[in-house]
Amino acid sequence: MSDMVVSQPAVTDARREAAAGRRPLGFVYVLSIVAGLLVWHVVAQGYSSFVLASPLAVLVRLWQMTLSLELPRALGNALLHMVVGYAIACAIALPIGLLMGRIRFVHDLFDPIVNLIYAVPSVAWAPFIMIWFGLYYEARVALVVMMCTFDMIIVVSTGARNADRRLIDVGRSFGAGPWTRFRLVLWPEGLPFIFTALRVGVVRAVNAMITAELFLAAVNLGAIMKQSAVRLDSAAVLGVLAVLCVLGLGLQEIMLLIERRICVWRPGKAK
Amino acid sequence: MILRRPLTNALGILLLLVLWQIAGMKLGDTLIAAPTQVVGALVDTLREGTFWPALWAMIWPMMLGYLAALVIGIPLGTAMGRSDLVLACVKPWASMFIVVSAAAIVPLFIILMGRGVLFLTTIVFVATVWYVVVIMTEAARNVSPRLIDVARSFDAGEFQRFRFVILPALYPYVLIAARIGLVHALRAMVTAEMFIGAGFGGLLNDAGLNLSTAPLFSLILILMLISIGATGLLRWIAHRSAPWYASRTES
Repeated sequence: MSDMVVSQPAVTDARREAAAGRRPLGFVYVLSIVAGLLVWHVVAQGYSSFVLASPLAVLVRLWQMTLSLELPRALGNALLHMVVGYAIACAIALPIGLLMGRIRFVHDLFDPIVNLIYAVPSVAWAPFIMIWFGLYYEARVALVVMMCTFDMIIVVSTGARNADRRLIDVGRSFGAGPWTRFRLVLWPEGLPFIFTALRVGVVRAVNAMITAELFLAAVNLGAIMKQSAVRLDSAAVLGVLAVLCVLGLGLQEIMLLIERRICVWRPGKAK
Repeated sequence: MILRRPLTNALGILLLLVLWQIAGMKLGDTLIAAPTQVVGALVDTLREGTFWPALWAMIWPMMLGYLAALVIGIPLGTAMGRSDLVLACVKPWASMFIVVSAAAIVPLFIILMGRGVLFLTTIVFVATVWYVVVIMTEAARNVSPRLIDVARSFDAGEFQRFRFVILPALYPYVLIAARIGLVHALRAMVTAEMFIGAGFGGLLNDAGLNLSTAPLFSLILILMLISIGATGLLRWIAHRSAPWYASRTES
């Protein structure tokens, strides 16, 4: 009952904000992007097209690469190792993160190890990964796993640790057993954090995917980038960058959409 | 009870070291060098003439880019948190740059500015500044309206509210932003250096070609120490300068 009273104003607040503030701000949003593209265009005029291509040239180049099937093929292959690596990272990070969040002993045991490994920039492991997995597909998957897992573990374990004690205590005082507590209290309370971790992880996976293609054997998108950089074809480099940007933002938005769909019980906190 | 936590922490690290040692002895140092071998390699690396110049060549462009990111990112983030107009203007660019990794912009920046110090500093700046901005935006947005209302009801002007309410409330988040920014600065710097094969990144590349993995592990260990040391220092500063914010600066 009291929970309803507390959460009610938050909902109306969000609605009012959406009704009052959305339209003008959305307009500024678009305006800012257009202004940025214009500045880029003007600046690009001052450089030769080898060094900095204009936005139009990038679009043309992207269209050419799409027609020649060079770009779609590279993107498809790149997504392959990204998805496999991401799935493995989830399979490792979610259970470990949840256990670390809920069991003090596991947390104390793993916390320093996770922090120590997280402190090292993951690309520094690339030479080590080459020794173990070679230069190709397996190595790319391994680097994606390496780059995603620890970020996700940290998010999940922090989320699970911060689960509201009072909620669990209420469940316990109503005689809920461990399984019922998990299903009815911890699960709905922890799901948003799991989604945050999945979102952080997916962006990291896109980063890792291109890092792997540039630092191990240059293939797919990485090969396009490297070869174009050598040929001073800045339009192609910027084009691949734009594709990566759209891919990352798109995946992030999709995760956000799924989260909103599933976590309907948390209207205010789904951000 | 108080002692249990550090004891379990130590147990975890000990367990890792033992497993690592066993794996190292079973598989040999071409695949995975045991900790005992890594310690020897660490001493050798520190004695080597090329190491200290390479380390220095990594640290100072990184600090330059990192400090520039803080100097620009903190005011920009604060402005975004307090003004919806600024937020709407900068937000699309912030989310765009955060999604693109340091590795992906390296080829473009090499075309634009070559492989010198300017290139390294700019990469670190671009990779760090948006994280600082996002953290400061969140912090500035979440300054409790109650604090501001109190100041307003005591007739504090716009500037006074900013100077005496908002700025002190932001202080712990400045240190959090500095800490998270540093992690990203180091990531970007190592990525850039490994790509062009210069400085510390060049050493890492070379160590990867070595027949034994011990030198590679010793370099990774040094990176770990730098990162843990620097973030620990920032944590300590946060704790010393504003212990009343400890609950916020810990996380």
